[in-house]
Amino acid sequence: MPKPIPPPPPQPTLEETHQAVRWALGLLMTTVGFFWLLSLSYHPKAAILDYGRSSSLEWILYRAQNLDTKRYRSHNNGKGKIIWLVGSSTIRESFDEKIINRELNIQESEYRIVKLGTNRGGAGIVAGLFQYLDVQQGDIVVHNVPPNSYKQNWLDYAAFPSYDLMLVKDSSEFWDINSWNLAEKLEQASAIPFQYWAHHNMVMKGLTRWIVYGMSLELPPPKRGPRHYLTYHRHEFRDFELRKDSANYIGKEGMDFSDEQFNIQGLRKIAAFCAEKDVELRLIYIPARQAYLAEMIHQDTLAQYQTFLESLDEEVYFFPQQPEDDYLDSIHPNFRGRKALTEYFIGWVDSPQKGKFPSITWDIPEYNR
Amino acid sequence: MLFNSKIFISFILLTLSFYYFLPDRWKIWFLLALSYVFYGFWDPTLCSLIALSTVVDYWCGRNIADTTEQNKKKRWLYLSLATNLGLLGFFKYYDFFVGEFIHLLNLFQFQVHPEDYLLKLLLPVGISFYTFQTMAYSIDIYRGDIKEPERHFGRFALYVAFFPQLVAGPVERAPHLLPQFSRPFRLSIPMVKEGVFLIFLGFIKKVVIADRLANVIEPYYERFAENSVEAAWAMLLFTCQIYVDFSSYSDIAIGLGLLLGYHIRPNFNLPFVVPSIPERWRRWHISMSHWFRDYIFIPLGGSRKGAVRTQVNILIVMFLSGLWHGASNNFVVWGIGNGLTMVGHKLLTKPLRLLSGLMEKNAVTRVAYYYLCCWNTFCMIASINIFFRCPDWETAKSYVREIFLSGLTDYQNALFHPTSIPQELFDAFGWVLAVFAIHELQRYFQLKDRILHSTLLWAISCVIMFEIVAVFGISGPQFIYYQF
Repeated sequence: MPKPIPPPPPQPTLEETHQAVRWALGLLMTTVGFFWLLSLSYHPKAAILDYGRSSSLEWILYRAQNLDTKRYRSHNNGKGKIIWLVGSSTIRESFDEKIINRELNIQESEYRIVKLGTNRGGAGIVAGLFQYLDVQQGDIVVHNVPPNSYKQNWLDYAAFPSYDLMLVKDSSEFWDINSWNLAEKLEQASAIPFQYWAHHNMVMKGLTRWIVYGMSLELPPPKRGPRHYLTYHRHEFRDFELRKDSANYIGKEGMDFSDEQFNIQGLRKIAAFCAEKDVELRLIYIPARQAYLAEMIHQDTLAQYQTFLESLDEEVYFFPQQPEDDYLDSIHPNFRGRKALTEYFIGWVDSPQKGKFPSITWDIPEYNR
Repeated sequence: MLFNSKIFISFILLTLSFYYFLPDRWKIWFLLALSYVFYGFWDPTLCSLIALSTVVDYWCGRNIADTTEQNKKKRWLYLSLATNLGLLGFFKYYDFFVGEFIHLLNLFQFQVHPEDYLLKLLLPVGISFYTFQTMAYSIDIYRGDIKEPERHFGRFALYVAFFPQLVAGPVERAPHLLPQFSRPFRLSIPMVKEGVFLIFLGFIKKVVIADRLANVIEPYYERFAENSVEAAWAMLLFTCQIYVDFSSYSDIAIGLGLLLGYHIRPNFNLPFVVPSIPERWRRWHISMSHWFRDYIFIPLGGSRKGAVRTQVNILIVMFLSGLWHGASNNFVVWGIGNGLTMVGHKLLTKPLRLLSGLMEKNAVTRVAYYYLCCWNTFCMIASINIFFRCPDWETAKSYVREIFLSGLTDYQNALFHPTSIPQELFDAFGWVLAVFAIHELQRYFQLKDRILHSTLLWAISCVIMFEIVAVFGISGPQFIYYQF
């Protein structure tokens, strides 16, 4: 016969229960209070964040929050206009802000540029930067629209940690993310206190640096300077893979052009922002290397992408295709490509050429036809 | 809703805030409603399955108890079993058995396309747990182990859907959990202390150890094994990962139960360092082991029908246990493998006893022999766990081949050039040693009891654990046993 299941243990008394409930509620209130107090020290200007800032988006956000816009408008008797280059890492790698601004200064252009290109900087992410930018009438907003921004399930593909998303989204904005189901929206929106969760990752990284240095009895570390996230990579070449089983591959029906797509939602937000500010929005496409376009995107999908770009209300400008040797990896230009694109951009500021959608001259594999 | 998620933290804080103020008669319904919210968070339509199981077993339980005719009792019991096994069989095993049948037909040259017949159903979370829990209730009433069925529908429904243990156990038995729902709400400070401690402990195990181990070893299991040493390390690390992952869920479940005023029975009793396979199964997933013992092993005859029949019964139980874990050949092999190790241990009882007797001569040899047996058991479990972890049959075969059948070259290379072992695997083994150390501290010094005995120690340990969890962050992969 099976062993008998023991009955539940005897219960505490009523008096013990009242005591325990008071205890438990006290713990609850202490926990909630502690989080709220902690969140007060987690605001964007907290010093500890300086020591924990390490990712691309954290640095770009920092730049947006602390930009000395007056300096960029100091030309034209302080009435200079700004071209806001806001987008993905391709923006970061394709243009040299210093050189462009120097040339624009020489040409006595009314514009200067501010470059804010972040890794996986689709419109859905970078739309969150505009709240910090002093965009004024007469400025131009330039945003790049690469094909991988319109992948199906882009948020899964981009694999943004939730902390990063919280940096550029308000708690109320999670309800607007159409590509999330209700459970996902509740999960992110329930992270309260919000400032705590948004900055927690940076604070922890900063604390870790302090603890590590503290343990070795060294002087506090100097504030970390910005890395290539605020300028560009300096290598000539970085290894890359063109594999059909890679997460970067975009197959047939691999893109989503519906209004639910995260970056299309973001694009609408950017467009609405520009309309409200009465600024021109220029969308640009900087082509990836030919091998990538041929081997990593199904040609039917590429055609759908082209149709999508043509259907947009905003004008899309196609920048010139660079030689294969002028790429750092599969999609980003290296210093040679950046030089060429920088020169093109300087001429493009005042006379924007529409350009043409890149034609594929590389051998297209069978699985992509 | 995952335990290790932001929404769950908010859920539990709100639950407790309201729960303690509610009158007793509302608490059951409040918990029941929240349990369905918890379960339906993934997919509200899944609530219909658990509701069906609840209604059927509530009705069957009452009728089995109220009927005097044995045949009628049997019919109600069959209805309960058919409903629960039907639900489980359809959602969990339909594609597996149909797929195997089609594979067999194709072996005999029948051209049958699996795609035409497979439904590719998503397994409802927790179905393996709550169906077993409700079947146990019906069987206990039929056998007379439960004299009086639960007539309050709310209490019975809460027994089925109680959210702390709903999706990954422990599989609670009605004589232990159901009477607690009939009693007035009572709580004590020791219960609160232990509850909070277990919840923090569970989160530490999950977000600090299990998820870190998972991150390290996942890439190795996504491809075929390419190096014996790497494969062996991944195999050993997974055995640690699954222990901390699964036991962490049970810790959180038991801790939550305590904060709500309910006692859930322990599911693990220091199974990480054990000297033999049978000892391991006495301490691992205790609730499920007892379920299989009471409802499969003993009805088959248990150990009362001779040595051979006993071993056959063990093999049947472990086969079914493997099948319970997953509808795939991997899990069947895993179950049978565990069964064979138990049978093997039984066959070697006399020689092992002789050897043990020789080693008991002095303390040093006794301790050395004990830990040698523990290491041996750990390696055996780890070897069988290859089939548990590998995503498919071919990957599992590659691991077995690489670890056991490809010669000693990679092992020799690693012995003479330890730097050839990937650093991340090396570092991750530190977690295994940490788990081992804490395990032994608990066994020899009752670490947890000492901490709970002193409010100061308890407070310090909770603050430390809280800080560690806060550093590592809450959100991460789901618990391994959610997939069952």
